Amino acid sequence: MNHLSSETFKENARAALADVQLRGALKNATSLFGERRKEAAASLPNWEELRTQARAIKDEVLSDLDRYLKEFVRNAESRGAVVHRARDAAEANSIICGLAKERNARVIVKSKSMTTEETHLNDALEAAGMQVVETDLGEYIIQLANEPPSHIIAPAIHKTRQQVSELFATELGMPPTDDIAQMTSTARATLRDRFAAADVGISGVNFAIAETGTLVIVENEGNIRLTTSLPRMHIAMMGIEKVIPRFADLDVFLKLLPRSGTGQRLTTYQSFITGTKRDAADEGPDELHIVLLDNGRSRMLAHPVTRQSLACIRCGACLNACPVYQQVGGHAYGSVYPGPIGAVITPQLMGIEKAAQLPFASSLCGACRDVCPVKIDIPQLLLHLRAEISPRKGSTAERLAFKVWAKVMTSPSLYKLSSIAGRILQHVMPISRAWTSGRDLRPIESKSFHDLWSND
Amino acid sequence: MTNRIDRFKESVESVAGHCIVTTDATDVLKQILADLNVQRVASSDNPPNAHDIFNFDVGISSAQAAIAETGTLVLDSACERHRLVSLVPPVHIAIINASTIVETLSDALTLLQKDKEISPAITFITGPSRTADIELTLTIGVHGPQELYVIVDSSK
Repeated sequence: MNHLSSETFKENARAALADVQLRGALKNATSLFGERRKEAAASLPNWEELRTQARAIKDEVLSDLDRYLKEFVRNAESRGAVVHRARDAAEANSIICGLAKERNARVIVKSKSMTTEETHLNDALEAAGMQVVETDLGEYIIQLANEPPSHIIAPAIHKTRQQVSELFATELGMPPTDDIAQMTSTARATLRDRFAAADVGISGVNFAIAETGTLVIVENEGNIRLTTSLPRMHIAMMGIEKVIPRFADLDVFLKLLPRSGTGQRLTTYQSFITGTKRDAADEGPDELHIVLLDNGRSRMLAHPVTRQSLACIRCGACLNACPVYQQVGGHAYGSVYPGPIGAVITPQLMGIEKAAQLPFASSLCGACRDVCPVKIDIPQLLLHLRAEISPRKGSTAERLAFKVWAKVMTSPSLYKLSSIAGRILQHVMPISRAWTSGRDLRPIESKSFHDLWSND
Repeated sequence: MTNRIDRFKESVESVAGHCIVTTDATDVLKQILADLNVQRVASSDNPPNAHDIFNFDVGISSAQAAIAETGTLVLDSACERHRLVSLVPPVHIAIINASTIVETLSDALTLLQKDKEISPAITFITGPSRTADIELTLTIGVHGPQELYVIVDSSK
């Protein structure tokens, strides 16, 4: 079990730092993804231009989200989809449980969806007596292990092959093996049986096209295609920010997303789903339900600074680039959204009190901003959130220290006096532990810059 | 045109697919099936029912377009009404006309919307199914086929 809380980030991080195996796995994953992203971006001469275009499209939508959502709903419904609006997680889960119950569903297959992780949909469906099976290999592994995902696009990167082998041996009766292909084919066979039995398929959404009412979902494994074509009902859950205006806009996003995520030119499969099938004899579900989830997104939309958090396309590039994520991994954040973007989104979704440590889990180095395919200024957002938190936080001693600091720094005579005092006192006074436990404090030079300047 | 076919072939091969350019697609198909020595072959023109499809060795489909720069097959439900044959059996063989290959992703997106309402289900396929979810080790053929053959009929 590994369900940590955002409220205890510091303790979580400390434990993660002591886990040698986890840090090895993180180093491999983040450096490999990082390298691949770099190569893939370099292969497109107009990469920067694409990022600018993508951000402009997202800004266009977010400045008028209501209109684009209405257009999307109208077009999706005119093609036979049924659209539901959910204000929060509880409402989304109850809509989906209701739909599944009405059809007497017993087995539900799911493809990877961060939004359903966000609402803890699986718990709700299981509580309603249904069997829910995650079908993405990584998600399936962590479902069997009863753990949350540790990376947006590679949910089980924290697990070694030995751990997966032991898990499959216990849960699926597989003879233990070192062979990853063998483990994969065991999962394939087990999951095929569930696909064949499934009454409902639940998926996420990468892009929803306002102009045509189309859902676009990208993947490598093929489980999304099975989830959205075999069961007689398909339910797709999406955050309201997933809408983009035009079908042609996909050109930009389908270039940026796979390259930023895994370094691929295109992922193996893209499914473009527009309403329901035209002929009953055709392949595909009879019913398509789309659940639009707000769950705090309107709040982010309302403020001009936080609005850009909604431009995220969930590629995971900022996780791989982040020196904090690289060391502590996803679980320490205690949120389905880890890393720099998680530190921004989580406090806004869960409430700032529940994740007040996360915006401070950054050195503000800006690597996340540099790799973001939609140019989200994550450091700016982190500072904005810190400013919201800090009046409520911080010890009296800290506040006093900064008051004194400000006074000294704005007065030349006090500054001069303090540097003389500092030179003497540094030898006799213990420096604050809280400050020096993570940093080296350089000794103060015997001659100040001022002294050197006036002597010359 | 020849250049475009070459670029397509190169892209398919770069994602671990096989690509054969021929003027006699039927003959090449027969040869592949003979070499594979398979029993049950499903075709999108004459599909098995959805649940029976798990028992087939090979699935054969067409594609309505293809993209040279990425090696992608574009299956449109208006023509390809049963696309699971391209996913469920361990081998997928696609037969396409050379004239349907477009250069870029953008060209393909334009084509899907041109003079018509977009079809209910469109599938892009680039190479065989893959995962790297265990220790980031690339494994081909997780939920979909392990092998993808694309036969390009250069006479059409």
